[in-house]
Amino acid sequence: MKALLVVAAAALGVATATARSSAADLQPGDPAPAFALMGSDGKTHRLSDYAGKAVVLAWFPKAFTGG
Amino acid sequence: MECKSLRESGDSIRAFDVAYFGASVDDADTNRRFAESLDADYPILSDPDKSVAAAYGVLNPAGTHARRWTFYIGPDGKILAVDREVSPPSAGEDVATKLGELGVTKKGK
Repeated sequence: MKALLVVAAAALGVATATARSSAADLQPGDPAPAFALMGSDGKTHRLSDYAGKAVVLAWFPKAFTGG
Repeated sequence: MECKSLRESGDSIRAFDVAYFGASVDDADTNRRFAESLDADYPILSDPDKSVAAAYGVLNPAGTHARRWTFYIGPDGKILAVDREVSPPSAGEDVATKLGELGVTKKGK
């Protein structure tokens, strides 16, 4: 039951994030969406790893095209 | 060019208590090779299933690529600022300037 709740909560989180991105752009004061992404250094970086520190996330369109 | 600029301004960015990343929807192997080609001294993150890009609202209308937007996130996990008009050639120094304007703590202070 507990596991089911966790899964449901996670699904809701994804659904909310998806709805959010199409509905409105993130604004200052909004919680930054969590992430766990593989880095070019071979490590997985999670936003939560950097709690207590500022984080800059610079999105760019495509590698090797003037990135 | 943006990623190269971030490398060139690494010292002034690292003066702040900040973790900084490039990010795209390219796969991890592509970004590893890209980072090597730039001699990048910071990680470039890969979001090949585009779920995080969607959550940040950065996907282009066709859903194929991320837009060139930079997010500044505070120590509390909340968005401090979003730069939606990033200039690739000056991106690195612009990040350092913005961190100063936002009052992000400098290291050792």
